[in-house]
Amino acid sequence: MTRRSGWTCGGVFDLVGRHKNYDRRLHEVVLKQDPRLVVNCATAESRRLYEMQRSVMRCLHLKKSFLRLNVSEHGILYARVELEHDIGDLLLRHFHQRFPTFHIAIEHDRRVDVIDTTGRITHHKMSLQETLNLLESTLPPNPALSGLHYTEDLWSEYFESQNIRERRNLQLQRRMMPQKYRDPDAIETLKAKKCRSITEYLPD
Amino acid sequence: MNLLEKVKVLGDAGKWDTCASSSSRRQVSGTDRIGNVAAGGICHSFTENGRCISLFKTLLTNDCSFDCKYCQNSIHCGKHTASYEPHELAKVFMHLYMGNYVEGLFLSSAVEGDPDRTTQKMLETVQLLRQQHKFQGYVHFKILPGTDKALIAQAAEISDRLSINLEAPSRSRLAQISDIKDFDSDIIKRQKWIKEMKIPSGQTTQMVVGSSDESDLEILKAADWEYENMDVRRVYYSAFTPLHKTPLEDKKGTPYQREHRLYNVDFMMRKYDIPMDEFREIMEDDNLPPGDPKIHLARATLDGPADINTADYHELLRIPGIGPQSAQRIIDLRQQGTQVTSRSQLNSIGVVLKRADTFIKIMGRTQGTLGAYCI
Repeated sequence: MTRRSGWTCGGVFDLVGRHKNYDRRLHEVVLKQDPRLVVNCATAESRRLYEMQRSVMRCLHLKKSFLRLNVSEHGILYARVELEHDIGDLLLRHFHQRFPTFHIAIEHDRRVDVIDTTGRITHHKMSLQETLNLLESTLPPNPALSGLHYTEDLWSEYFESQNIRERRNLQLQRRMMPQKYRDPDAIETLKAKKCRSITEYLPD
Repeated sequence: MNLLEKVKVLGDAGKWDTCASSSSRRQVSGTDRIGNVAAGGICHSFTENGRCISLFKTLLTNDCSFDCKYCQNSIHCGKHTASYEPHELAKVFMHLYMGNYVEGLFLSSAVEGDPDRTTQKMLETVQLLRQQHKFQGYVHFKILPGTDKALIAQAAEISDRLSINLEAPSRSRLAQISDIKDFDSDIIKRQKWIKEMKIPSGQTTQMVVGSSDESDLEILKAADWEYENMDVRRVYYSAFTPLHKTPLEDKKGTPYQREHRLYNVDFMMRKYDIPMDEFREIMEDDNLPPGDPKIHLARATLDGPADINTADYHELLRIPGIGPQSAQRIIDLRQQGTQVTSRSQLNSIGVVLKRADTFIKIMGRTQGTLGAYCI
């Protein structure tokens, strides 16, 4: 089953197995259906599988877009993230492509995944800080990376400057980007206040 | 002025450039580098006006000797001037890029006396990024009106995309908003040079809509000419907004719906291959009527509901609620011997039935109602 590039199903449903509610039986049902209908999502089952695939792709895209990385003086890029689906390795590979000379550590689901400069991924069952300490003990400090602590201030100033007040359209902003991605501290605040959902945290 | 203030002032001065595309098909190789380009483009945030922030969009300086009447940076406007030194700008940008806040750099500038001197400083900044910081990510370089050809060629070598803004659809319209800039020699001539150069993401341009009382027809004709003759990848439209302390501050702003309609038509010209002249039929006094241009066009050109199982690709594209993807899916199904027999099937394919119902027939049946025919 192949599709031309740029089409949404991407041929086989290659990412659907990473969905948190992946249903093997549904997948098997779809595989038995007429490929002509499946390839154009013209059955309810293929549509459902396609939506699951889309959900994984969307999650990956959002994390690529909105995950902010910190830079350690030892050449490690690190971040904490909550992942809806099983996409940790894809995220690491994306950032490895972008920053091949850096180690990248991402904490999610009570573990830390690390990709090194050769592209090898390792999993650590310890906190992010402990993992960073472990990695930093093997890497020399890089003077060129000092002074990167005020990036958040730079970003705030820049973000404010880009807003055109005459064109304010909060509805559009909310549609494009959920609140939790707009406020960099929102997830941490949610955890600190033990809120179960973003609506509990948001002011009226 | 400290660095944070410069970020604020020069970011604010550059925010009116609407191009936010960050996709490039340039191949990035090797591992001794920072950054790469994405073919799909990535947005890293959205401002309160709902617009995407993908690039670090800034001016090198806002100290301008040009006199564009709509612009807050023009020589007429008393303003706080600020300028980056190339190393400062490179440092700020690398901070943001490493933190995954931005996808690339959009470097523009006011013209500080001489366009060549300003362009040289812009080039110095990008060269610093490419050579010293080993940055291999996306760079959009704004060409200033009147820049020397050799400098443009240098910019083309180190950038993913170049652009020079038309600002107005014709020589006479530009003369209304600027006494200094010459439409043909300062802008069109430079576009021709850029067209001859090999740039990974080509060139784009932008027009300010409504600043010189031009009609939609004039704007669309200019855009069509640009696509045909200058190979521009995109024409961007920015609705005129009166700004404080500018000569046009008392002029009425352009409604954003007008800008939206121009983008609608522009998309149909580029993606559906609908010739610009067809839109003349739906225009009133050379302007697009209120409402969705695609529905207006469908009402003007379709004889009646189109049969979903016999209409060709281009007929399907003209039906509101059917885009290039869903039209291609319908054609693919037909070529494989499968006919569309129900509305739910169309829904699964991705057709927006609410918009399409009035204009389609499925197995000889129509679902249209008078309410659905309204815009």
